Formats: sequence, structure tokens, C-alpha cells
Amino acid sequence: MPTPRIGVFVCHCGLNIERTVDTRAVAEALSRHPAVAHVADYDYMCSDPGQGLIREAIDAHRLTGVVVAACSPAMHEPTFRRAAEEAGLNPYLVEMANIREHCSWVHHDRAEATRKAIVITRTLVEKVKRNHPLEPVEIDHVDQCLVIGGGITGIQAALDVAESGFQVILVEKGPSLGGHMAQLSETFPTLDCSQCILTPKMVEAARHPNIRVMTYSEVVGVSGYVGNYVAKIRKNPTYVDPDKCNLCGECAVVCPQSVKSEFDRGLVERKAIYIPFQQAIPSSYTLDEDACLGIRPLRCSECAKVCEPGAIDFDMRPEIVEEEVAAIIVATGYELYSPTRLGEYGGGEIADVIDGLQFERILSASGPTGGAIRRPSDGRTPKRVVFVQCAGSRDPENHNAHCSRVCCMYTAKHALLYRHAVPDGEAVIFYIDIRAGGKGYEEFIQHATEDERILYLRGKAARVYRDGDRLVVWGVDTLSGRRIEIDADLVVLATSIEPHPSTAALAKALKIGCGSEGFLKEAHPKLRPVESLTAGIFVAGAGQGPKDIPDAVAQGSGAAAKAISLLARETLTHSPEVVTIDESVCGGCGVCVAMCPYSALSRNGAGVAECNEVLCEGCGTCVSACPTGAAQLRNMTDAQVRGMIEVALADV
Amino acid sequence: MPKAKLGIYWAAACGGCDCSILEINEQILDVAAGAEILLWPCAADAKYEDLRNYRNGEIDIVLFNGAIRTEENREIAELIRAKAKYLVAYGSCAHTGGVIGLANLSERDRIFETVYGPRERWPRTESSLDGCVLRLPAFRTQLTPLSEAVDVDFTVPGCPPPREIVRELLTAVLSGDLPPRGTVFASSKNLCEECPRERTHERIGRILRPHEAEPDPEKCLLDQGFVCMGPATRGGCGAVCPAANMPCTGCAGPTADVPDQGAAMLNTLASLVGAGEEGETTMADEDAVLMQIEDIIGTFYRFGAATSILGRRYRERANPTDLD
Amino acid sequence: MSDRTDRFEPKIVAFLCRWCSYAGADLAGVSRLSYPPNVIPIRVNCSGRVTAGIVLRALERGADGVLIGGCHPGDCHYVSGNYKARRRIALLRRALEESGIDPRRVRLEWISASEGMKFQRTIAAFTDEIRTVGRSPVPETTAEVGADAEG
Repeated sequence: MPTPRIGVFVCHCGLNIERTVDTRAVAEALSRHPAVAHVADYDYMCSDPGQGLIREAIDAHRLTGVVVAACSPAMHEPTFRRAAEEAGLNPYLVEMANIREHCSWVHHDRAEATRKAIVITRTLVEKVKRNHPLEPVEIDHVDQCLVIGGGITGIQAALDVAESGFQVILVEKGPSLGGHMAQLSETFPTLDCSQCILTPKMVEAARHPNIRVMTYSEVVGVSGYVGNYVAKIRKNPTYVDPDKCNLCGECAVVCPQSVKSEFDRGLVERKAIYIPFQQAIPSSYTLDEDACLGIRPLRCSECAKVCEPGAIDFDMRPEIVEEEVAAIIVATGYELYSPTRLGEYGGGEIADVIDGLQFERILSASGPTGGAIRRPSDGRTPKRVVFVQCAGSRDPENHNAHCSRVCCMYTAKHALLYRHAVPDGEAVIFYIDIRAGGKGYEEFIQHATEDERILYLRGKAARVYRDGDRLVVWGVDTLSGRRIEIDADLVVLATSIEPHPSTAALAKALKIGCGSEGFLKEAHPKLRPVESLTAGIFVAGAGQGPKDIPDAVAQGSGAAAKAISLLARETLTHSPEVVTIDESVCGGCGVCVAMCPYSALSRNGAGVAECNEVLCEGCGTCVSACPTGAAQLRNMTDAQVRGMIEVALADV
Repeated sequence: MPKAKLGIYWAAACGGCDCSILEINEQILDVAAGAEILLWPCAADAKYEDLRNYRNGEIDIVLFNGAIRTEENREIAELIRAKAKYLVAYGSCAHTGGVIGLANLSERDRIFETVYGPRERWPRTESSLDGCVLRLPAFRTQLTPLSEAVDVDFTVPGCPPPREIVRELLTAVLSGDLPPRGTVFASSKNLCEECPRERTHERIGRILRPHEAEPDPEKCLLDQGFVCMGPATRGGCGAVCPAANMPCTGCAGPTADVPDQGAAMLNTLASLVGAGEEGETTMADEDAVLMQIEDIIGTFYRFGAATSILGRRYRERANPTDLD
Repeated sequence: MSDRTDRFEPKIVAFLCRWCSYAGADLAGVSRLSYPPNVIPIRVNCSGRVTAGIVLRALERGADGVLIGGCHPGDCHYVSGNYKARRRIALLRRALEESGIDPRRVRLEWISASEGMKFQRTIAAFTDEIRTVGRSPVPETTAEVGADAEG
């Protein structure tokens, strides 16, 4: 490296620094440093004239590096780096010595504070001496975005990205868009008809010129990195041509095979050839090959015989397509904790103990009972419905530790809708707390508590069991201190919300993390809630954590905004302060590969480690684990750290 | 071509390095033919007076094995430095202080007490009987590698240096075709590069000492929980210990950019335990695994104690508020 | 001149992670909290950048104490760097103990960006503790390489 000629600029920051630190003495001490070619001290270095001092000095003194002794780099590092760049000095040759937040503002003795300021400034001179000029890493990208999950969150995200002018592929595992929201009857707190507000969005997504919808499809593999992902998507055969199907339904009439309906949550059956719900998008029937008597070889073809438009095609095969995308939004949603895992509430064996989504289907006008409240066992109208909140949630010893966030609200909704449909009915709700934080939520709960035939009992329901003809809920009312035994006609469990079962495998394929409860992990719980730790992959909706529709939609838009900001740039840039591997020293032990949370390191064909600069975030954890010193962090090498230590401990 | 003037000296040593020179088998005949051995106390009688009488730089190359333990070691190291054109730190003891560097963990008085018993029986630097004076070299308070005493031109690591390396060195010596000063006769990479075992980076669930389990001969020893120093050790020895189903003990010292081999390996091992699956609940398990390493200094500093501040015994002050 | 010259003033180096503890130190400054001036901060991106070797180098060069500041477990900006730092420092402290160096000389503290007061308390407490533990025996012992007159 050439002989260092470093410029040191000591800021008074008005009196903020000058009151306690003798800035002139600092400048004077540094002027005697062999690597320092120029010093100056000034009132406000961040001001225009202050920055001008730096620019002029770079020119006049041919500076090879700059140290500004002033406030925290968190305040003004970009300011001074830009100033230097304008004068033709590489911005990565500029460092700040924090002699304000870490010195003048926290010490009182002038001599001690000045001494410490000199030492701190010297450590940064030591660092900048060995900094290399760096250029940001530039990445080209394609103009397409992938959205995984066709529920309300994925639909919203896809629409937002598409509206910005970029291409979107929307992949949905099931035969139709809509997700769980399509199964709901009304949504709290407004009691909007769920399908009425959802289906227009589904249609918009399907019709949008920038969105390609792939239903009955799954993402089976992803390779590449931000801006340049390659997604492998398997399109499963529906055996029905959606362009020809006219929804007449004759195929389902003649189909001999029935299985439990997923859409109706097992309350009724559907045929092997079916449409999940009338407003399904794509507007087409689907033949479920696992439920069918057999396609290869063809065992039955009754459906094809009655299909007038000839939409049925038994020759369809799974198709794997590869799509290049710049960003991926993961909106895979949730599934409910199965009642079979709640042994204390009947273990899924009692027909009249159902979960929240099953009750939604019963409430729904387009559901198996046409909106009439009828219980599964005998079709009778239940006169007393007992609702059990926190079924499987908030229970770290036995089930899930987390709160599922929406159950207090939907249970109140269920109670209100039930009461509306069965005016002489009675609703009993076992609750631990009521969580109603959204807009209008508290008022909604009050509305439910005011109904004289909705009884809120504070206590956990301990058991639900059959006793002869009786269905009994056994619990406690903590406010009166009494044990409660209630005969119920129907029990609705607000079961715990979990990430969709496909989440874990998909997260692994995408190399993004899941938290301890299996939900998609966000980059930072407060400041980066819709980004994953992998650049270019975003997370949104209930897959990231239990949430209501407004929050899910907001996150969908948030993730879309992140994707758009990526797509809208000509090239993507990435900090160059990343890890380098000295191939002449690296023995390929692979320890670094095991350290990296971003999967930025790998062993290449030559058997040595290689760092993908685009994925590397520059934490240096691998550098610390490297047993040979082959891995180093640009502009924070071991040699630089050792130099700084030496200076930090030397006598002034 | 004139014969190479060769010297081989042992300081605080076990004799293994001198034997290692014979490991070159029939090449020893080339050495006998092509070199004039001016000094080799292990194999031939010579007096220090002879050594002093050589001109400065007269000996082409001296292979110096053993560490600096006594004043004699130091004195002769300086003398040899003057008389040799090239000085080679040969073997682990000369290079890093070697296994005997672990003596630095004990104070000299404690060593003498253990070896000799009561103070009256301790060897004295000067004693006399019947008008005759016997002088013994002083036992220095710390053992050091050769490079602490004099400038070293080449280094041959290993305990002892492996056969192929010794061959390479002696071929260079005999031909006069020596590499640049400062060259280390070993790989610049760590042992993992030449180790044939399969690395899967499984979670290290326990730490094992070699006698505690039968290692799987195909899989990486570190993956299996044995403390193999390979990642923090220079290769070039052909990974003979892992090939013999024993973990590497680090005798060749660290790669060039690592000042403290033991710290590097300690760091690497701590990094690996639990890596990739950490959470707030895993810390107790990770600690339990790390607690299975019993003798940390002995494990990580077996050959490098003399090169690290950890290879010493310290006494914290009794009255810490006294300034002195 | 203060009256501090008549007592031992420890020299301490602190490695502070950019996202949490360095920001916590900034907050202590913004809040005008005060603490002793014995600690020289060195900013690293992550506490995971700190190695046993770096800490030993500081002790070798005369540090009486070494402080490492990182994010709370689960909050590391880089996911898991702080977990690695924890294990490394834990093993190093045991090694220090084996050598007779008081392991209290090396402290790892979790300080978030919002914990200005915790930063202040940590610096004050650590400086006090090192004052109690005393001057590091490392420089003196490592200088003791020469022979002794009496064999």
C-alpha cells in the first residue's frame, strides 16, 4: 500500500464536544502521528463549510484516508463518505471517531476526556491506514416476482406488484385461489360477507395482465440469489381444461367416489371430481387423482362420458416449469391445530366438538347446512353452544405456547351470529383473557358481552366429554371461584393457529428460517417484519404469525412494496464490506460454511471456501471461526483489529 | 560441487528430531556423500571451542532442534547464529517450544522441588569441591522457541518433522538450492486439505477423548466429537495421525496468519458446538458439551504453550489496590 | 490533576457490536449519562467478530479488562453471531482460569440499542470490578523470560 496520508478533522460540535474535550489538543496530538498528513479542527464538521474543509484537504494534501473525530458514525458516516466521494476519495477510506456520544457527553474531567478522545481518534487512524478502497457490488436482475400462496395475503401482494408494472407469478397449492378467507362466513368486526369482499380480488388477480396464476401447483425448488432466483414449479394435473369447463356439474353427479370435503372441513363429502366452492378461481372443476378410482390405468370414465364440452383430459401430466424471478414473497398461511391432538376436548372423536373453521362452514349460507345452525351428529339445532377459547394456545406444557391472536374476536363473532340465527339459543364462552386490540374490536366485544344470552366465563375449560347422551364441558369460573359443569349441544373449539404444514419444507428449500413455533422468521421482529434474512425473499400473512385479515393484507402490501423497490431499481447494489477468502491459505475445512446464517459460503470445485458477495452481510462470524486466517472481513481484518488494540492500549 | 557444511544441534530436546534425520532411509548416503557435518552432538563428539573457532557464517546451514530452556541453550543458539549462514528451527520444540513448553505452566521452583526434592539438592550454577569449580547452565524461568533468542531463516515444523519434508529439506541443502528466507517447510494450508475423511459438519453433541470411543475411520474426527487440531494446524505431513485413526494434536503449529494456534482452535470448536441450531433454549446444552473439555490448556496448547500468553501460570495480586 | 493518580486506573478495551451495544453506548451519550473514562470502544459489526485470539491479544498488550457487547440472545442483527460469541468467551474464560488469570477480566454483556442506562451501569461496574481485581499480571509475567542468578 502507498504511504498513508491521512487527514484528521476534529469537530467542536459547537460546545457539545469542545466544552469537555480540548479539540485543539486532539488535533495537535494527531498532527504528530506519522501517518497523518493534515489536521484541522472546526465548529461543525457536518455543515457545508465543514465538509468543504474535507474536500479541499483531500485535494490539497493528496489524502489517502480521512478520519472525522466528531459524533457517532450512526449520525454522519454517510455524510462524510459522500463529501469525500465528491472530492474523488473512495468513501470506504473515511472513518469516524466517536468523541461525542462516547466521550465528551459522558465524561467530565477535561484532561481525561481529551486523553480518551486522542486514543479513540488514533484507533480509527490505525484502521483507516489499512482500509482498501471498495466499490459496491452490482447485481442485474430479472423483472418478475414470485408469490407463493394464493390466499388473501398472496392475492394482495400479487395485485400490488402487478399494478406497479411488474410481472407476477402467483402459485397456489390448492385448486382455487382464496385460502381460508373463502371458507369464512362473515368477517369481524364489520360482519362483511367474507366471500363478497374476497372474490372480486380473486377475479382481479386472475384477470390482471401482469399476473400468471398457477393453481394446483407447488414450488419444489429454488436456486440462485436476490435478483436472480430460479424457481422450479410443479403444475399438478387437474385433468380438466379450465377453458372448456362450463361448471355444469354433471361429472360430479355421476362420479362414484366420495371423500371428505377439505373446503367444508370434513363436515360433508365431495366427489373425486369437484369444485371446492362455486366462486372458485380458476372457474373449473378439478379431478383429484388420489380420490379417483384410477387414471393410469383408467378404471372409470363416467365423468368424461357426461362432459358435454369435452373438458376432461385424462392425458394431463405433472409439468415442471422453471421461472426466473427477482424476488419471492412467501404467503403460505396457516392451518388449525387438529382437535385430534386435544385429548382433553375429546380428541377429535366427538362429532359435536368442532373447530372454528367448521363452525364457519355451518354459519355460511353456501355451506353444507345452507347457513342453518345444525350440529353434525343429528342435524338438530343446538340450543346451547359452548365456545372454548385458547384450545391448544397459551399452553406451553401441553400444546402451543403462543397466543393465536384472532380467536377472541372470532369467538365473539360466532356467538353473535349464532344468537342471531337461533334467537332462543344460549352461548357460553370459556376464556382466559380477551384480546381485542384492532380498530373497532373492543366495541365488538362489548356488543357480545352485552347480549344477555351470551355468557362469558373466565376460566379454562378442563375437559369436554360424553356422558351417555350428554355432551359435557367441565371447567372453572375463576371470578366466582366455582367449578362449572355445562351440558352443551355443540362445542366449538378456538383451536391454535399453526403455520401451514407445507411451510417447513418450503422454508428449507428457500433457505429462510422458521421460528421455534414453525412460523416464517422475519429479519427483525419490529423493524423488518416482512423481510426474511435472505435478500429478495419476503414473508407476509398468517404464515409469518397468527393475524387477522387487515394485518394480513397490510403485510401483503408491505412485502409487495419491498419487492417493488427491488424490481424498480436498474441494478441492485450491495455493500462491499464483505468476507474474502484467501485461496492460498484455505484448506477447505468448511467451518465457515457451517457458521453462515445467510448460506453465503460454500466449498467450490477447487475444494476451498468461496463467499457469495451478494449474500454476505459482513458480520464476520465466519472470519472469527476460521482456524487459518483465510477468511477475512474487508476493512476489518484481524490485522486491523490487532492494530487498533495496540493503539487503544498504548500510553498517550 | 563443494560439500555443504552442515550442523545439527540439539537444545532442550528428546532426541526424536535427530532420529528423524535418519528416517530418510537411503538418502542418508547422499547426505554423507554431499555434506560435511561440522557439528552434531547427538552423533559425534565435538567441543564448543571448535564451534567458536569457526569463522562467522562458515557453517552453511544448521538444523537446530529443541527449545531454549537453559542459559547454555541460549548462549549456543547465539553462537550458532553467528557461525551459520542459514539457521533452521527444526522440529516443534525449536519452532513453537513444543510439548515441553507445557513446563511454562509450572514455576521453576516447583519443577525443581518435584524433580530434586528439598532445596539443598537443587542444582546450582556454581559449586565447588576440593578447589574444583563446577558450572552448570542456569535454568531460565520460561522456556522459549528458538526465534525468541535469534533470527531464524527457515522453519521445519513437526514433532518430529515428517519424512518427506526432511527429504525435501536435505535435498535443498545438498543442492544449495534453498527457498527464500522465511520459508516454512510445510503446507501453507491446514491439515483438512490433505485429510481424506468425509466432512459432514454434523452437530457436535459431545466431546470425546481418544480413549473414550472407537473413531469411525471414514468420518471427520471433529464431526465425531474428538478434538482434532487439524483445522488449526499446518498440513504437509500427509495427515498420518488421522490416517491412523487418531485426532491431530497440532504438532506442526498454526498457519502463517494465526499468532495463537490454541486460541484459534478453541475458538473454532466453541463456534461449531451447536452451530446452526441455536436458540435461547439451547445454551445450557451447548455449555454442557463444552464442559466436557477437561484440560483446556493441555488440549489446545499441547505444542504451542510457549507461544501464547495462556501457556503460563499467573498469580493475581493479593492486595490489588496497591500500586507499585 | 484529579485525585485519581493515587489509585490504579484500569485500561479496558470494549468491542461493541454496531447494531446493539454500540448504539446503546450512543444512547448513553445522548442521555448524558456519565461513567469512568477507562474504556476505549472499538466498533465491530457483530459480537460474533470477536475471537478468543483477539481478547488474548488485548490482554497481552496490557488490557486489564476486556468487554464484549452484543445483542440479546434471539435479537442478533445477524441472526446468531452473538450465540457464537457467548460460547467462545465462555470457553476462553475457563482457559484464563486454568492459567491463573482472573476470568472476571473478560466480560460479555448483552446490551440492546435502547439500553443506554445498562451501558452506563456496565461500564461503571466493570471498571470498578477490574479496579478490585487489580492490574493484569500478564505484561509482567510475559516479560519474565530471562535467567535467574541462582540456579
